[in-house]
Amino acid sequence: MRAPFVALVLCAMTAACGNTESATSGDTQLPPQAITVVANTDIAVGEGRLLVAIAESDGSRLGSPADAIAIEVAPADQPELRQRSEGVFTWTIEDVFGLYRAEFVFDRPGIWNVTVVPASGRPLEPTLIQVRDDTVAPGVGDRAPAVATPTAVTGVLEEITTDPEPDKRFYELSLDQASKSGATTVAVFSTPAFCRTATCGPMLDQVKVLAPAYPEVNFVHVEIYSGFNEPGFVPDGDHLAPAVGATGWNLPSEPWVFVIDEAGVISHRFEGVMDPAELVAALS
Amino acid sequence: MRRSVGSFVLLGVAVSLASCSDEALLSSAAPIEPLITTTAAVAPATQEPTPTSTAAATPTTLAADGEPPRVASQQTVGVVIAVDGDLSEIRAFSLLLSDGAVIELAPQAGLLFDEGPLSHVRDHLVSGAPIAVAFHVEAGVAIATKVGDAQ
Repeated sequence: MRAPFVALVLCAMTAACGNTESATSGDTQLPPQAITVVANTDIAVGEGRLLVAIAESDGSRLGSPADAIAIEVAPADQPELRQRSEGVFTWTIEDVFGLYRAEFVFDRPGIWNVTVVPASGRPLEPTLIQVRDDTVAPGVGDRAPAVATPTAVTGVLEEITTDPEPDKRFYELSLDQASKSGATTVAVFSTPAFCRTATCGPMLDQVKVLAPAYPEVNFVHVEIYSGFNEPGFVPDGDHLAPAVGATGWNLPSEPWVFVIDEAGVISHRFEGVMDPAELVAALS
Repeated sequence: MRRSVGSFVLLGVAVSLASCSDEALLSSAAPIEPLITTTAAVAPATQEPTPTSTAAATPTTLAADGEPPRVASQQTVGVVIAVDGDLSEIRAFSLLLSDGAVIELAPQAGLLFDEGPLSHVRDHLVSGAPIAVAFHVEAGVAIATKVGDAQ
């Protein structure tokens, strides 16, 4: 039998968890039935980036650049150690839906509360996240795993990417070559063809738009699956690309963008959703 | 970085089920019986927050042949609110249904999301776009047999 799934946490802690006050500007209010969804997975001790979506009870997303909210986090067993950051709205798909991001310092592993605090009105019911001892995927400060990836030099472009409009520049260097080149590298892990509705294609497209402004930077796109052109291909765990799986970057999810500095060390990482401004800041 | 991904991946989701709207949000949601966490599971306001399993109650009766009971296939539509797993394996995911109930599903072996990777459920977690799921109940566990975009 499968191990019990203990992922969902119900926290009706309005009084105990919601000892917050409105501190954001504006008059943003959220319906009382709104729910909080933490959209990224790889959160560990240290500086962490949290992605928080706000949803109506029917799942439709709330929030916009005009809606100011704050996000609070605290260890579940020590709510007094609360941290607060303003949530920065980030479009997942421009003018369609988005979520809020905020940076925190998680100083201990374990279960933490995450609370969305609108500019006015009551905070939403808190949600719980698990903060790990260490990240699953390579973290900031880690050396970029030296894994070879297919290039247009070694293969036909259409056979190494599922991007319908590939930028050849993203396939000129293998990831290990790029990270050892002495130049900054932006690595995008995504699979546009197998992520049809939400985040993968837009994330790669965002980086492609920015790339011309950084001629000195290496850009590498890595597909999540290998063998996708072969008959009978199935996009499952058995077909994870070597660079993606446990012997490579060990990614727990996709898409990802990593920034690797001139020394081959990861300086920034973005899971799931990225505002182009974040990448611009990382490259400045 | 840690090289193991075998440990439990928690995607925290606070669902204020007590205040969830009763409005029908899932037009094609079929009635689900034995494995749904209802709003009654919400903790009292003075209780410390603790991870709460929304696992379904496990039937204690066995079929005549001694095998665990199996409920005929059902279909539902819901919004993904939690995912347990990674790119190599999705072990389970949870759907929020129209009546505020939550159902947990374990995918059958080799299950895809339409013809794409099952890990695509995580994109639906981000986007909030509802998904359609066919499943049956086996020994108290909802086993997803088909997953795709809700029409």
